[in-house]
Amino acid sequence: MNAVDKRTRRLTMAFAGLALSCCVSFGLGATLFRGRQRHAVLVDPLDRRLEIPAPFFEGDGAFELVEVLDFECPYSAGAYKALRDACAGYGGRMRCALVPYPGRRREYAAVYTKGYLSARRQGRGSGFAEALFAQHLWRSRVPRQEGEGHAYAAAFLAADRAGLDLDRFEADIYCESVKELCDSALASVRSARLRAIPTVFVNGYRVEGALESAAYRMAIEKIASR
Amino acid sequence: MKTSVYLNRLIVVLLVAAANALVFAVARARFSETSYEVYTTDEIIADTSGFPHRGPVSAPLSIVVYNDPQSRQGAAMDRLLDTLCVLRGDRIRVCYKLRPVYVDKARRIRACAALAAYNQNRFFDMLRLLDSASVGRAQEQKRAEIRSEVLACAKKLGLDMGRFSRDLDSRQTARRIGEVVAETEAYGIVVYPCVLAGGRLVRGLVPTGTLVEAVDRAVDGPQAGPLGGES
Repeated sequence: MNAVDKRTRRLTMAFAGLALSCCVSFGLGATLFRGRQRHAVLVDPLDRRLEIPAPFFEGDGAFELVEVLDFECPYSAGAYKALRDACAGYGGRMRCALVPYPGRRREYAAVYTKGYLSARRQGRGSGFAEALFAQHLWRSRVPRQEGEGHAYAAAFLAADRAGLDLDRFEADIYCESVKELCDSALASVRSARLRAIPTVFVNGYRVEGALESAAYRMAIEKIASR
Repeated sequence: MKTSVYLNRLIVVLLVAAANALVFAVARARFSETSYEVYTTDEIIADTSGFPHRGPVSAPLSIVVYNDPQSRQGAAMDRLLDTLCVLRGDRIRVCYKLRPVYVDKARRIRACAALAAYNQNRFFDMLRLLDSASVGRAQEQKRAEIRSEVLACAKKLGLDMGRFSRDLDSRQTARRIGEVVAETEAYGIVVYPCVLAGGRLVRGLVPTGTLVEAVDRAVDGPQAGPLGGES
């Protein structure tokens, strides 16, 4: 074995040793000595009951959950998914309402609320919400003045993807009674001193902010036990 | 010759150790385990001993204020509490807990100054002076600038400056602020200023009527369950 071979072999051994020790360190860090974080979630009771119109609700259980989300907010998208996971075990015991809130004071975003309620009339509220969140509307850079047209386009696209009857959806979304119901729901959540989006109201308690599904599950369990 | 070989080996060992430490830290953070604890506002136990108080000891309700003397909202909350004490002074005892939103040394110096003044029984006077000094000022003021401003306030109040300076930099003052920060983090309180009144948390700046209503409900109304004790 000449000197060059010896040197190459030693270098290979050194790199192999380094890789092996790094693997061991990674394994130890990811299993035995992994970091532990503790997060506290504060829920507070409401002063008065929310008056959300009945058409917003899905299910007829005794346990009431009202989600206030913004379809143009990525945190709301995360919270929506986390809540679906958290509520999976409750099935028929829960009645859920989603109130799409026009975030950042953009009035045109009320179109999504009307769209959601129109989809609820066809029993496809969840499908519509998922299709709307899947469009990642928070990434679009539509000028404010074109916002309403864009919102209608996004709502119709979501309706199509959710498999709704588009003629019926169109008739509903422009219907005056749908607008009144939306205004009533938004006024109700505003009266509860809404401070953050997303916010979830669980049986008369407020849970603010976007949390992970485990945190939502614990909050719901805690409120259910009271 | 031998020395340089040993030096090279030492460098290699140190590099390997650094690489391992980095990988370990990344793995630890990436695969960290998060546990959650859920509290309702009536479960918050606020330790009020040793913190500035205002109002009669015999008052039927003790309320706790978590406030940041650095912020404009904090200054507005102080004025709101002044009004509340005028309207419901006989019914409440207010405990002030200073909770700087930013906990770095430069930005908590005003909270330290207020606590240092409390040691000389001039907490509220100092708070008022700090309020008037903080309004309109940028948050990013340099530490030295804020410090000189705070010392000027103390001088204006006629405090014992030697004692004030010692208290301003003392570990005990920093520890007391640290205790408040730990308490708020432990219960998941994230909005400041906020008022804890009879098991309810009034978050942020609210109209005077809302705060008065919260106090009245805490003193007069039933406390059981949500929705004002209806269920």
